[in-house]
Amino acid sequence: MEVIAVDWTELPPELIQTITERLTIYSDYLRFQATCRRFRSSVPKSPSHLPPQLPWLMLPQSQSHQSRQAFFDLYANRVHFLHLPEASNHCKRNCGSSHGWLVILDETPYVILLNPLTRAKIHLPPLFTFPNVVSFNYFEVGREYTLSSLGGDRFYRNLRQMRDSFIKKIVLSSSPGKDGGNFIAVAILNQTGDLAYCRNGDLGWSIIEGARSYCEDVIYNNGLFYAVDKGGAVAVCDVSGVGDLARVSVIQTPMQLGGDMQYLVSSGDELLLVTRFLGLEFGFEPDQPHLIYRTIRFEVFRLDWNGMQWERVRSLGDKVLFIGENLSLSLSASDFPRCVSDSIYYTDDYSEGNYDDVFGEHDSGIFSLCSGSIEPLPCYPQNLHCRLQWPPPIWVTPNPC
Amino acid sequence: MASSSSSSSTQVKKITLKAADGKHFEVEEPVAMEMETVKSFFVGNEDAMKDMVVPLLNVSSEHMPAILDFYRNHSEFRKRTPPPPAEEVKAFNEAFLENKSDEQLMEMIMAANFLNTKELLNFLTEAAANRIKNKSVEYVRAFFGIENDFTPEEEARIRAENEWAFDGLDED
Repeated sequence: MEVIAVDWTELPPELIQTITERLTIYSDYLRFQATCRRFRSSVPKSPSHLPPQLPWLMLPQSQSHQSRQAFFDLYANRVHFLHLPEASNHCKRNCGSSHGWLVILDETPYVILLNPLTRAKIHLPPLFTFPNVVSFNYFEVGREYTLSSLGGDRFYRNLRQMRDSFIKKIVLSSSPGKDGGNFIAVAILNQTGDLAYCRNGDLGWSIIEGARSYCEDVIYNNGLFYAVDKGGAVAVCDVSGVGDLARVSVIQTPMQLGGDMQYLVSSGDELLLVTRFLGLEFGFEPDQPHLIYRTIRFEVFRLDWNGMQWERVRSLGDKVLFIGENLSLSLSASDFPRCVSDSIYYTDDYSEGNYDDVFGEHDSGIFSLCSGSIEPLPCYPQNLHCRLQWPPPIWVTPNPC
Repeated sequence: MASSSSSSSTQVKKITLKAADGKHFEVEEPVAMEMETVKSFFVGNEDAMKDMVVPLLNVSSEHMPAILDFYRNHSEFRKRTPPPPAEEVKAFNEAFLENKSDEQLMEMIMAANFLNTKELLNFLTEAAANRIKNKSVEYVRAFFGIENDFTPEEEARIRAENEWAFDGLDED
């Protein structure tokens, strides 16, 4: 039989593109682009077809690599080092991570969004533009910020207090690099339990009236922000109307009792409530016995939209959840080798306020919903020294745009 | 009264396809019509169907049986009620790819592209993508049989842009 030689170095550009569109992992795409000139010129520089990527775990700063930031990649099962002086500083705090962008606060009023892959940077309105901040003055050392309480009383905060405890978490509706940068940011404020929002380009933050105390967690789904309170009630906030006030409606579910922290996760068509239970542990550091909190289990519920109540979920099926200081994320484990289905990958987003006093490693791990067991994250540096603790690890999705 | 004895009216029409190396394949009409390239050959020319031989310039006879087998099975999967279980489709697809070399896979992608059938092309391109997942640049070059035509400086610059993506990968 005659064999005809097919020369696929002459692969038509549309076929090259079709194959790359089947690549779902960003690093595979980058390597494809690096093979030869023809392949490189046949595909877009930044892929727009990629599904949500498996998040990396941004690891605490190490002193030996001052400007290099370590990220653990579960897919490749290894640590990547990125040159990232913007985030690599002991004065910085990660205050959220959405769609591949970190929210970074330091001992200045500036709120910065940083994409660790591209090093693109965007400023959100500074801390002194929140309505409950009355004034800011660098020269009032130790009491730079004047704040107003709910009752109208004045009180003071210094730069470091504002960095660490003014904002609990900031989430974004979409990647600032997509859709012409038309994103909205929502911040959970620790002091009052308020939610505040700004659109890209706004000069200041606005309070979402009617959503106070829905300050456990916030997510964005299909044009709306969903915020949850301690008891599992959900405030649905529409802040998209230009010039309008935010519209808030409340899903009043029967009170959820128990649990120390609540998270919301949008998973497929479902809205999930993830309840985290902490236990108090006695740590035996040499010289300094101390008490630390540690996650003992999670419970998961799905919102029954008809009955407006939370129903217990016993299995997540193929799904895997990522929670912590990041915008909560749900992915299909089958899309990613080495990813354990029916699990919750969690990081520590509560003990950073007193990081100076915390010993041992942060409270992170992989919780299996079916067995109730907890495994350590595969990457967590063993034998941590105290200097490796800051900032606490955070999930961040590698996203080129 | 209509007779049911006429077998010729129920007989499936056949179309003759000619592979690039001249070999002929007699194919049932519905299977042949899965290929847009064959279909378009007959547009406005329906009467000629029986006698004409459709030349398929870019398809080697080596791959014709497997490709036709794919069409037959997948069109049966589509028609079946209730739809076949996902495992059955998966098992067929896996068996289809088994023992196919990278070279054969790429040749079939070229064939599917020429025959203009989305389903087969989607399936094969996904298979190709799966074979280069988490592999080094050198592996991907060998897979496609391509030469590195970057200058060392260019390549160093490209790698430096996303250094993290290039270390510690499967070479084989």
